[in-house]
Amino acid sequence: MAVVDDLTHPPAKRIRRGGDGLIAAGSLILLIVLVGAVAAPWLSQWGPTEIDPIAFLEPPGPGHWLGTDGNGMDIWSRILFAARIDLGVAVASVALAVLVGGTIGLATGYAGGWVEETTMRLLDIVQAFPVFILALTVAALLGNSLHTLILAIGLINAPAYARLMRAEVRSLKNHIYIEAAECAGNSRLSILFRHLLPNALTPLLVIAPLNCGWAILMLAGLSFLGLGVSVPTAEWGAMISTGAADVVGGRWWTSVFPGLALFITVLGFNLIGEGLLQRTGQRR
Amino acid sequence: MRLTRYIVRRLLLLIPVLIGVSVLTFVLIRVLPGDPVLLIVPETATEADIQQARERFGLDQPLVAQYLTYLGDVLRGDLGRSITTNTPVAEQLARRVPLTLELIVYAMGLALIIAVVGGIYAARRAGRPSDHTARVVALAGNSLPEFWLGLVLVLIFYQALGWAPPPAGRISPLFSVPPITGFITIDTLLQGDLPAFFSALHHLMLPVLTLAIVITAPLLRSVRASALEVIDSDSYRCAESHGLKDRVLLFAYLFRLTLIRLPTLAALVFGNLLGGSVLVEYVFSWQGLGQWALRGLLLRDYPVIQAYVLVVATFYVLVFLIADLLQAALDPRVEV
Repeated sequence: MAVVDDLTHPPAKRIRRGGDGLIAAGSLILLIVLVGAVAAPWLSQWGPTEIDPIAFLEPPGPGHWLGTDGNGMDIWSRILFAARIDLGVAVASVALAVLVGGTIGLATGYAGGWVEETTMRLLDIVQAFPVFILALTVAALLGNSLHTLILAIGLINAPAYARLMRAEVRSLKNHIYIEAAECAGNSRLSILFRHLLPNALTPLLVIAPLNCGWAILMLAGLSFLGLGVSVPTAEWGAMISTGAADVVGGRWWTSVFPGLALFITVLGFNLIGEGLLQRTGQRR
Repeated sequence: MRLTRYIVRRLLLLIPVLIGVSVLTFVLIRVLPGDPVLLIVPETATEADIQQARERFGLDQPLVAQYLTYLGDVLRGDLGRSITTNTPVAEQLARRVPLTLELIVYAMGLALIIAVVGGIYAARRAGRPSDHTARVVALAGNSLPEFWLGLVLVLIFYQALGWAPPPAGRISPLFSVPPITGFITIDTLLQGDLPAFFSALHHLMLPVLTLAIVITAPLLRSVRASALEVIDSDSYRCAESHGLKDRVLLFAYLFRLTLIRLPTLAALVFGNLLGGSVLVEYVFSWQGLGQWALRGLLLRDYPVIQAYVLVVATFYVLVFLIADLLQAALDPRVEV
């Protein structure tokens, strides 16, 4: 079939798969954010929760580059330190989701039968749940420490990875090389982890950056509603939440700057994700 | 006949999902720390008073018995009473659903128009600067936190320019609109009150714009991708080389074929909006479903959360059913 196809259809016009520019731009953005996060103590003279007693709601100026919030805390410094939390939670929660979801998908996809059927129906139920309520509930259930937020956001994401992994494994397990591996007397575990996993992992890793962006938005959204990190931890969503009350008074800097940082970081992840999708030919 | 059978089968498939969702909700919220009864009894309440309040809501029963009672009530159309306000949940729900639906239906409509027009435009100029611009804008829109975007729009259009009303409520307090359908733009029109209608539109402007900006990105991207696919297809190239007029090509070929893929994604976006409206509602003090559920969750108002999750999950599944039917109607190759 494939041969006939090659003969009747001239090879498609060779298109250079783009995406390199997007990946480079996204990486540059994330690199800058990362440097800001790591070097935060050196880039700012104020601590993230340090209060300047003579500067409440001060507009951007020489003393406080991006102004101060209603508690007299320096916005620039808080934005830098917040990057540690936002980046950390995003990457950790996505790693957790890939690990948990990937394992479930790998096991059920290979096992097949009723195990697979039952697991998929359970995932249906979890996915029919309004995402935000699920996150809120899990966060409320486990208490709002950073670890539980990672757990909540990661677990909510896991079903999507489980589906993706299962679909990959199902299409791979009928390939001849798997059959060959079976004939050669490899154990099931060896086939799962040495033959199936490396080949099935790519699509999961390709969507991981997009997912990191989503996870940051989730964390920020939870914090915005007061259910994320606890006050006065520096986190972008929580900072926007504090600043929201100042908006009506025209004091824009308390919410606009942390939001910009949030937006730029998510954009960085999305640029990389989009670029990866293009490179792997899933998007033009 | 086949269509009816298909719809009935899909609706039957809804039952196990809804039962699963309701069990999960039921268990999840009851293991949450915090006791709603302690919130409603006065501070001077004795142990006996608390026990009595608990009995009133059936919370003294074993979990399985509570669930079965709840299930029986729901099947009879009774969603229970809110623990914190002691009013029927169904009544509150009926008041809240139109608010949220109004918001997201307008946002969806706006986003779909932008996505279809922009997506086809970009696809026809694939690789040119205008195409790149459209894609970068879409990518940026996808990266915006909607609650922050809402605040920024308030800053610009209310604070700085004074074009928008303050972000509180959905109509100027000068008007009183007795609810008929609950959809304020429809109600004002039904009553022929044009100034009230425009005030309602005015108040809808920013929240709808916020949601529309955020959801346009994925829709536009998908429209562009399917339009590109159509343009590259043999049938389109054939029509093109026959020298058909540009207008015919655009509307009879490109437009129609591009739309085939849209319903499924639109359903997904719609479903996500419904379950995720809380952030924008919060920013604009919109008393919709999202805020209601958030309050219910914070106060551990079990019947409220149960009703919310059930309604959102039902909508979610129904929207997908409608999308599949639409797709079958648009694409003769798809059979239901």
